[in-house]
Amino acid sequence: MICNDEEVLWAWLASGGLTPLEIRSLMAMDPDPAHLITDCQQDRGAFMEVPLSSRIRETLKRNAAPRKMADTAMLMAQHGIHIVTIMDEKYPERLRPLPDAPAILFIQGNMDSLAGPTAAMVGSRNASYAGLTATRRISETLSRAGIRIISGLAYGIDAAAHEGCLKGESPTISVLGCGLDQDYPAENAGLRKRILDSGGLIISEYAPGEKPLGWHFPFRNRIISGLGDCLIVMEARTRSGSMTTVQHALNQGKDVFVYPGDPTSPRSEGNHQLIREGAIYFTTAEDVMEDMQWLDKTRNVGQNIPGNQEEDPSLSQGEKQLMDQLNRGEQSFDQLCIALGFSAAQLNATLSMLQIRGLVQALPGKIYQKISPADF
Amino acid sequence: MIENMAAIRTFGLSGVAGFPVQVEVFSTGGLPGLEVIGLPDASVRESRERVNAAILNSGRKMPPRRMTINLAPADTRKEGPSFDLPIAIGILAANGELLPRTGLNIDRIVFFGELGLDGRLQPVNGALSIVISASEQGLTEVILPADNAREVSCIQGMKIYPARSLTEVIDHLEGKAMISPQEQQDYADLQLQTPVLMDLSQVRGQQGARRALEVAAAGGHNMLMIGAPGSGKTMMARCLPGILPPLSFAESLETTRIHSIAGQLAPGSGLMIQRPFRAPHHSASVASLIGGGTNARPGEVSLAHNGVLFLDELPEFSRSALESLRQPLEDGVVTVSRIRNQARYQSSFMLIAGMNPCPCGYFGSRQRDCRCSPTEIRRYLDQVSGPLLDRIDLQIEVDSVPVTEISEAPAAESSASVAKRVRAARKIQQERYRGTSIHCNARLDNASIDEFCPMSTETKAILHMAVDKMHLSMRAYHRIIKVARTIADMSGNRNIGPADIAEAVQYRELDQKYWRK
Repeated sequence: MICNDEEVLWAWLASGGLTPLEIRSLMAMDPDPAHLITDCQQDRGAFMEVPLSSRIRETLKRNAAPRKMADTAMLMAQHGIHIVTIMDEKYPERLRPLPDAPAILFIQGNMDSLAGPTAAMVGSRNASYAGLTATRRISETLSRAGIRIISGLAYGIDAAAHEGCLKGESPTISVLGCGLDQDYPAENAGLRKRILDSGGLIISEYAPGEKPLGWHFPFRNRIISGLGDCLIVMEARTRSGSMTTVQHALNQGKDVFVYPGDPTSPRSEGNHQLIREGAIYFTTAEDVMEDMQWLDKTRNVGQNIPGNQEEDPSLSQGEKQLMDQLNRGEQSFDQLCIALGFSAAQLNATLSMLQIRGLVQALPGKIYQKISPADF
Repeated sequence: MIENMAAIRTFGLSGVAGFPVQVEVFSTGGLPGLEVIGLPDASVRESRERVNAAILNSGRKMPPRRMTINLAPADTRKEGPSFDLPIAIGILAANGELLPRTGLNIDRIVFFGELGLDGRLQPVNGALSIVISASEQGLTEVILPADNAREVSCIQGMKIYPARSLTEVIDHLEGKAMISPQEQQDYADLQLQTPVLMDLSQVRGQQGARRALEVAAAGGHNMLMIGAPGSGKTMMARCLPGILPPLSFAESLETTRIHSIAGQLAPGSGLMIQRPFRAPHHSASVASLIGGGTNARPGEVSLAHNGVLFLDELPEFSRSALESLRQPLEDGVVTVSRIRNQARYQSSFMLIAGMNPCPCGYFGSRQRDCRCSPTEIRRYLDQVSGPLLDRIDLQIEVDSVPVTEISEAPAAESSASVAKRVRAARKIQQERYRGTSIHCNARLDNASIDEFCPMSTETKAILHMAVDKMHLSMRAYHRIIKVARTIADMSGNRNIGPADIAEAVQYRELDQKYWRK
């Protein structure tokens, strides 16, 4: 499908920095973008009725130049970007009632991914290891039950949420804070491709060519919370983007589920604050599904969540001791040395053997952790 | 001998090597003056004024004659003030102001030293190289500044006369007051006085890093430590010279020569008995690391010869500085070429590097949260190039949990007992590599690994599983075998066992966590 002229015209309208409300007023006056562009160039019609700043008018006029329009058309064709406006039937129903619903959405991928129950998952980019594994696990379980995960494609929790959803074989949806032609965040280019390949969707309200500016992201977060039937907070500091998403979700009347974190870590301070303020506390995907009354409606919930693994009889004495010690939680090399009375040489060798068997994992900071079976 | 003429022996320096120089003085009638020829540099040309004043202040007359001083060979550049003394003696001898005592053959004596205006003798750089070269030329008598005497006192078969002033030299030559020769020192006696810089018993906790340091010392492996600021990386590195085997006499000579030439020896100090520990700041330039300057001076890599080069904050060093280390790490020698000079300096050192895991330093720390973005961390780690990392066998992480949090930290072992084990492991290696160019396990190349590192099928299987499961590169494969060889040597095993491999795998932990793409 090659993008048509009308889509390019809508892309033009989205490129001027108009607020969603302004665009919707213009649309209400004249639903044909071809009229709007000539009105704009000649300062008449709808453009004179809606009060707009002169700077926006200038930008829109500049962007209406044939060369600019051709560039946009090319970017859209090249990246397979399409447009859905609030007037379209395809427009996501979940966003329609929002007072600041985006009037024009740029999309890549499959709009049908939004059909069915959805959950938005958010958290910080700089997340703890425990937070990341929990995110992956919960997202995967929800995905197996047919629930689609919405997130922001950022590094950390966002990426883990998308990954988990892909693994659970439901389509996943990313909402970006920049034009869809931008390679941002670059680290997640591979993930982005897999999302599209697996029938997922990538959405943005920003026109192709728009850079990922800092202020886009808090604003974008209203779409993330808006697209989800509920919001799941995995790991949030008190002053973070995730907390703005929570604010949007509350304004939109969504349920907010909060995963508990390490009570001493600033990484989960926001989580605990939310729990104190009355957010829904949860620890497993089943908790969420139960509260959302998804259990009976959805596909069979994955039965393959393994319990605690049987102890492997082939482990040596020292390996067993080490595993027992690690059952108490992650520990540093020095701590293990002292607790077990091993020499450094012996501990190194034992750790290697357990790492080779895939039972123990080394974390940055010379910290070792037992790998929980759910991580496989 | 031609009348009005004198020839005095001395030595010039080119790199660490000394070359013989003949100071020829020709005195003739005509307008009084003093001309120095034979490619002298500014400091040599200025010696005219120093010599003039020193002679007058020593109670001798400066003959009002025209004098030509030639530094032969005339086609080699001479630098430094060490020619002052031979020039002064030459002038006095050519004009009959100095009458050597009977039986004294002034031709067979080597002179060098800088003169003060008052006639005092000042120490010069490179005394050790000069004396060694003199000894190689079959010369046995040297008159030199007293402050340089200790530096050269270990050289066998030399008569060293330390002099404090020009007057003392003249009196000695004329037989009025003899200088007593410097007592020869035995290198073994000297070594007993080795001062302790930093002892491992002062390092608390850090069991893993301590063990890695011992392995590094035992096999001569380079090591990279990564860890949060204040986790003890620098302290660990400073302990290394104390656990390495003591400097042999030959090594000490090599290292002292380089330090002597660079002017890094304190006046009056003797041979270096402690392995050097060099820790250049991360703003260091290529020239300061490798050597350079107009006169091709030795750089930090050569000053660390037979010792330890510690580079803290590795990624903060300029890319070019880090890349320049590759060649000396490989060859153990650098050739510094400058317009005026070219010199080859030995530079066989152990590289110990320290770095933070990320720009803020707290990535992975349980004490403080890291504030760096993944891109920032990636960019920071990428400052250290693959080829350089390839030359670092041990790459370990330093424990981030402070000892204060560990209630029952055991008493730490002292450097002396660790050093004993290191010596034993080194001895095994010396015997194994006898007759080859290899002197320690770190120097094994891929071809010789097969020959010297026999492994059972079971051991090999563990290595292959580790490489596969722990996402190690094939580059890491050979490094692990080398380190396992050292670990086996430390426990006296002929063959590398499964436990040795399993331990060695842990010393590639950064591959798993930080450089894994």
